[in-house]
Amino acid sequence: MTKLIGPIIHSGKTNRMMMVLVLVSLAPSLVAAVMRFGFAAALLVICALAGAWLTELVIDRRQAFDGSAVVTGVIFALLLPVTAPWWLALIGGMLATGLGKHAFGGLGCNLFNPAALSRVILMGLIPGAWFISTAVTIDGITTASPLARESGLLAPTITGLLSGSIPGTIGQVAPLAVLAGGLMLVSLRTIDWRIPLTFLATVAFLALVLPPGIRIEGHAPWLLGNPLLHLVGGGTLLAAFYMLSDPVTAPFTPGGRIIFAVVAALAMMLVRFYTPYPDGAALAVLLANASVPLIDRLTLELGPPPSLEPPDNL
Amino acid sequence: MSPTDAVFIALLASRCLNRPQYWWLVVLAPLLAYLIGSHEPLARFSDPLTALAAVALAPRWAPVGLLLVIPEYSSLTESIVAALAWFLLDRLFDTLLARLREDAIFPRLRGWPIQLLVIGVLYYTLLPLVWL
Repeated sequence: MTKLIGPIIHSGKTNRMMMVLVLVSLAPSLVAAVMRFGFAAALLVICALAGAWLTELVIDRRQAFDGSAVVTGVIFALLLPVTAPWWLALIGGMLATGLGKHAFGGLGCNLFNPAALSRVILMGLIPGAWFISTAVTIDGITTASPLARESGLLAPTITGLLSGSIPGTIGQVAPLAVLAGGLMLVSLRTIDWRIPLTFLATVAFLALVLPPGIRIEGHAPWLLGNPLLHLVGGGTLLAAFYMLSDPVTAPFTPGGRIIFAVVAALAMMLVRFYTPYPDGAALAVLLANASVPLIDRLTLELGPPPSLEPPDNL
Repeated sequence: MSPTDAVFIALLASRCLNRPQYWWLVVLAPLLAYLIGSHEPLARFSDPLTALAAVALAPRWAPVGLLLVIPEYSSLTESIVAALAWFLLDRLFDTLLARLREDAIFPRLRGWPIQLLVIGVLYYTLLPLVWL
């Protein structure tokens, strides 16, 4: 394994500053979710946040005030359907911080995105809490994902997805808010633009060229040849801007980051097209995270020598 | 036991053993299991022959080889996919472990527990791809 040795150039941004920027960028999504679902969404966010932060406080008091646990809790909450019970949000927040982050050594040492890891583990352990068919809330209907075949009685429309009237997790009902927050992070160089751009472009390309599988044929034919639906539906935007772009779990090199985003997009689209799993964004994030050391190894050994310039997102 | 489960348990078993020089020969175990099992004249002796072949491939890695021949592979393709999956996962797992900062991990989680956690995550993550 090739190891990079100094000199190391400090970008001038502290962890806390980066976390504050991420939280500010998430604010439009949170506001949209609360406006759409009311107290139910607010309760889930509070529980996930409390679970993540209290776990951080118990395990490592020094890191509890850098904001990373809050970001983890909020991102996990945005992955929950509004029908999820409050205790799922609480346990999810605890798992994300405890298992996803601190089991690997804390901030900067985790191999997998904590929120995605927590979601995948809980979906495996308590699937019933996630796949509630439909439930009427105060002012809307929500399910696990608009890509789920069970919700596919009517083809979702782009205007419906953009306006939040189509079922989804609380972070998926306002794709424009997620996009605005993500673009803010890109413009402030908090995240590397290569990852979301490559990921979204590959998703769009694959949506056009992938042949239909039994998952789609006869169940959700509108998913074929419909890149916009794949871009704004499901967890695509959240994965692009908030999970894959996490600098800790992404490759070091620019070339590696492009390969990483392609791997994630390919995994997500394969899951969506050919497996019974409805979305696959969290699974794709974990799969891409698992491939990071291999990508780093290949790009560092085969690619040009790394530049001494600080990366864009630092 | 399904081929997927066998691949992951073999992956775990390989962590208990020192790596001999020709460890990678174990990758042939699923193929041999399928070929011996599907050869009609050997039907009566297929199980012991398969076990012998798995051990002979890499004697010091016999447990790994034996785990890989437990499933009944339904086709040659399935046995090749299982062999490749095991080999690729073994390489992937090695690179993931190299990235871990053991000194930062809680003492009680170092070594086996964290390796189990990583294998568990890989299992859950790759399970949907079995549908492909």
